[in-house]
Formats: sequence, structure tokens, C-alpha cells
Amino acid sequence: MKDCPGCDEDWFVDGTLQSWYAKYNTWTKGGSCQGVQKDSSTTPGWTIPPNRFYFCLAKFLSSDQGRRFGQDIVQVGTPLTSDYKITGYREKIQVKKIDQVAKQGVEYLSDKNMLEAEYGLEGMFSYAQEMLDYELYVVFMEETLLSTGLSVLAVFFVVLFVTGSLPVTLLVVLAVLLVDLFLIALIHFWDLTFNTVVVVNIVIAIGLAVDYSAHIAHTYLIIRPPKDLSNAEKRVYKAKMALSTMGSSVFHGGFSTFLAIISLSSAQSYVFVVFFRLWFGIIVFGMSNGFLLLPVILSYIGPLNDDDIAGVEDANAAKVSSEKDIEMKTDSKLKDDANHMA
Amino acid sequence: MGRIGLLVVYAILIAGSIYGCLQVEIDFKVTYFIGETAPVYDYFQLNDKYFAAGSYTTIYVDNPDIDYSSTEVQK
Repeated sequence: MKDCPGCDEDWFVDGTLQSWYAKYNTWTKGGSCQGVQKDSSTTPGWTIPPNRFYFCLAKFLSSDQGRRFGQDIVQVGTPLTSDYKITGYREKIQVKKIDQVAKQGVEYLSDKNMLEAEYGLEGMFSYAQEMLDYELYVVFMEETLLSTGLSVLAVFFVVLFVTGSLPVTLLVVLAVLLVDLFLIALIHFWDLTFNTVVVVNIVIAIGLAVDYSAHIAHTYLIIRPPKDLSNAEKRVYKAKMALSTMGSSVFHGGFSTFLAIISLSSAQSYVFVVFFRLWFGIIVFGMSNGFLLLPVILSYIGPLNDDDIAGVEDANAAKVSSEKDIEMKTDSKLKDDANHMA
Repeated sequence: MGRIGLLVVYAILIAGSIYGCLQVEIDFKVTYFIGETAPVYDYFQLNDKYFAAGSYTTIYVDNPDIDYSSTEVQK
């Protein structure tokens, strides 16, 4: 187990293997066991004669040098009789300090598994408390991508269902993905590392960020532009009206969330610090994507449906009717909520 | 125009973010959870300073079918 060809690092501290067998071998080789000749040659690879193995082992384990290894060996049968044998054992080795759990820890696990498969006996395994932490980071990237991917997929289908417009849905998904991109960059720029506490927020961010974009995008779709504008002007008009009708509500939503997390800003504890920094990022990036990026993109390439192209007679009438629409919708939603609560 | 300007700003932001994303480190230490005022914080600091050795891994063999006395197994 000492040399490790193909390992990322030399993991084990030389000379720290606490092996009952090594001690037993030396003890027997030194002539301490009755019936085995003392062997003073220095060539490695000396082994205990198989026919004396269990007899000498029993003697060794009852000697002063060997007694402490009794707990490391699984013994069955009565010592010094023919049914006495061992069915398992354990040995300890000191591993060098592993500082980076996610990188070194994972490498250590794979090297260790490779060593066991390559050189170990049948039925060999190993354990250390730290391996619980290392195992986590073996699946970490995979799990992160899976959770994020599924969340984005959910956003896609729900927004598609609500808006009924594929281009708008794709733009909302883009806005949401950009929030996550900015957020992961924020981890670096705000002195954090990517880990299990952080990843929770990265996944939550998708659900929160969709709010800020989806409402604006949805309102863009239901605004009717006046008849006498060109198509480019209609897009700009719809984007502007979406912001002025829905903007304040979305802003209130974002700002109240911000008020809620501001109490975390002076926290000292790691989890709260992470939550504050990342939620701050979610709100800032989510709102800027919803208020700035999305309307600008919509004003260039936003979809126009048949009603939009036909247009309405009077721009003010359009505004009033769309506002009424929203009010009615909000009212009925409130009533729904009230009913649910009751 | 304002809209073009905003898209340019966003392009710069995205470029910066991609750079930031590439710099992100995956790492975690249990000591993150411990505030600097906690008594055990000092223990971890001192332990890392003076006894920064790794921990022990225990290797187990559990197999009743091996003939442990044979020369091959003794290696």
C-alpha cells in the first residue's frame, strides 16, 4: 500500500501503517515463536510458515508486544486448537492533511478505491469519518446540474403555459439563466466558495428570478398597441406600457423581499451571510433583467400577434382597457386567494 | 441610443460573469460554521497551526474464505 502508481498524490504518511501483521511478522522472524527458526537475513518478503501461522499468532497475541492487536483481528475458534482461525482484520494508516475537500477529497476516494481493487484482498474496504464529506463532493456537480436543469425546465413549461408564446418564454428563460450566471460569478467576487449551502440559493434563484421577468413579459403580451404605429414602434410601445402597468407591482415585490433579507446583512454566521449575499444578488440581478434587459430585447424582437398588427383605434382606450384587464385579473386572483384561505 | 448602450453594458457584464464563473472554487470547511467568538474556533486555529496532520483511514478486511496463513496472502 505504500507506493501508489497512477495516484494524483502520495496520500499516505510513510511509516504510519499500524499493521498487526507487520509486527507479527517481525516478532516471529526474530525467533520469538517456538518452532520457527530465527531469520536474520534482511531480504524483504519473508513470511511465516503456513503450518505454524495460527499457532504463532495465538502466542503473539498473548505476548506483551502483540496484545494490543487483539482488538484488530476477528478471531474464531479456540486459540492453539485446530479450529482457530481469523476471518477478518483491520489496519490503520495516517493520511496526509487534505485541505480541499472538493478536489483532494474526491481524488483521494478514487485513488483509494483503485488501490483496494488493484492490490487489496478480497472483501477489503476502508472508512474514515472524513469520507462522508468527500463522498458529498463526488456527486456534487452532477446533482447541482440536475437540480438547476430541472428547475429551468419547470420554468420553461409553466411560463409557456401562462404566456402561450414560445419566443417570450425563451426570453424569460434567458433572463432566469442570466441571473444564475451572474450569481455564480458573484460567488467569486464576493469571497465565497461554491458548496452545498451556496447551491441551495442557486436553485432557489431560478424560482425567484422568474417572477421579475415573467410578469413583465406576460403584460407585454396582453398590451394592445395603437393602430397607426409601425411594427417597430408597436414593440417599443408594448414594452413601455408593460413596464408602466406592471413595473410598480414587480418593484414592490422585489423591494419587499429586499426588506426581508436586510436583517441578515449584519449576520456573522456562515449560512446567513451566504443567504444575504446571494439573495441580494438574486434581487438586484433579477430586477435588472426584468426591468432593463427584458423590455429592451422585447422592444427589438418581441413577438406581435394578429391583434397587435391590427391594432386598436385609440391608444388611450387601449391603455385603459388593458389596465382594467389587469385590475380585473388581480381582483379575481385576490378573491381566489381569499377563498383558499377561508 | 439608450437601448444599445444597455445591451453593451449587459454584454460587458456577461463577459465579466463568465470570467467570474471560471474562477469559482468548489470548497467547504466545517469551520465555516464556527464564528470567531466561539471557544472551539481557537481550538481549530491552534490545531491547524501545530498539529496539521491528516486523519487516519482504517482499512478493513472482512472475508472468512481467505486462508490467511498461506504464503501468497501474507505477501
